[in-house]
Amino acid sequence: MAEDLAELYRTTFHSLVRFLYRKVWDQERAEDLAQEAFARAVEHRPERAKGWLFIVAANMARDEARKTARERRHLTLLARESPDHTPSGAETLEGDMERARVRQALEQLAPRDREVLLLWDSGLTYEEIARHTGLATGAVGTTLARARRRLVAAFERTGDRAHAAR
Amino acid sequence: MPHVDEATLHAYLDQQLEPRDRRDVELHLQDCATCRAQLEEERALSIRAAAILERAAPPREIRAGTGPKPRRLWPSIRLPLAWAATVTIAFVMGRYLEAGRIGGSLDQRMMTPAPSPSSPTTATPRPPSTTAKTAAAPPRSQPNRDELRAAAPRAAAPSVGAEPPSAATMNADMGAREPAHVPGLPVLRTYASGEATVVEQQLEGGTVIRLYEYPPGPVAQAARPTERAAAPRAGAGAAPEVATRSDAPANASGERLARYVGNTRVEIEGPVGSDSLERLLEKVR
Repeated sequence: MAEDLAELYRTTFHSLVRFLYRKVWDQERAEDLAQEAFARAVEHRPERAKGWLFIVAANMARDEARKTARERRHLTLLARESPDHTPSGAETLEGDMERARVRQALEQLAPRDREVLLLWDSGLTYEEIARHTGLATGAVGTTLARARRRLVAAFERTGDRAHAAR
Repeated sequence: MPHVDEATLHAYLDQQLEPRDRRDVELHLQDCATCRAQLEEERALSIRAAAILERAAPPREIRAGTGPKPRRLWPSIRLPLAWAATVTIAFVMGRYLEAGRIGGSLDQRMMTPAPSPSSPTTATPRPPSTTAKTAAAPPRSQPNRDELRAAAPRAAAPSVGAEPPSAATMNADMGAREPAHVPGLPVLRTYASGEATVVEQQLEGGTVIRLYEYPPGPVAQAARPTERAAAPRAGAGAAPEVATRSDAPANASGERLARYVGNTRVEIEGPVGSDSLERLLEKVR
């Protein structure tokens, strides 16, 4: 198990951060949550560590989102979209806008479609995705096809709105 | 064969079909222009979706521990959480790497792979690529067994009032295995505290890491509750402890983080620099 986790850390940490980033939209938090997920894996020593890590990470991200939502209700003076969103200059503006578009598009997907899409993008196999989402392996392809189509459509709609607004 | 459905085409493109199903699809595609056209549509869709997701990649290079980051202190729990997680990982990886170096005399309770019929490779310990690098690290940054042993005789035993155990005694007590420690950090002292063997290591500045290794068994379980109460298991969902009260003098910052890994309590005391934890993992690598 130990060498599995060491190897998994080397091969999966980046994917896990990418996965988490698309959930919390803050890189530092994503990295911290990924670290915490690995620390929990060290303690719990799950049998199928890779899939387990993504599920634990997804749960932590969801808890974070709920906590953030609660905080936002209390901190209504915060007008920014995200409490951790810190525009850092013109050079990042375009990247920020692109990310905001993707974020909007992702948020238009059904939760399960979004989850399957992000898990696939993070390198999990259909079998691993099925195991941890409760879908039949055969249904993963259907879900992914739908998720991809809706993501592309939603992303293009956000672009159209942006053009219209200009 | 009827036309290939959308889900199967995506599974085909994603290389997730069983070999036999894949062969069937390829045979069908050879003869069906409609499905070939559909396949190209789905391929374009798949590529487009991946490209969109790529636009939402993390803005900076992902680093599992290194580099100066313009960190802004996010809610107060953030750094303690990251610290406890990082040290836990560093510690366990260190135990694993150390075991590889000294011929596998590692704590079986912590490190024995769980039986996993689906992954037979887990039965054979295979050091990761980092092993060689760590083993080849300069002696000053890698406390070796001699350093740990040398540290023991001059260590005091502050809490038990007994004679400090010799290195040989401690090694015998711990099953001829050196006490748990984080690789790459200077050892300040090694001493006994109750049932635990404690290795105290310097991280940097005034920050100290202590590893309380308890012997396995009911005695250790009985000895732990008071400490466990002070340091709940973060793995159970609780945040790592950040306490000011302690059974050893706290330093100026008064911060203390603790976490259990198996029979070992990992405790950090001192000011928490924002990039220190990252250097810690870098040392392990």
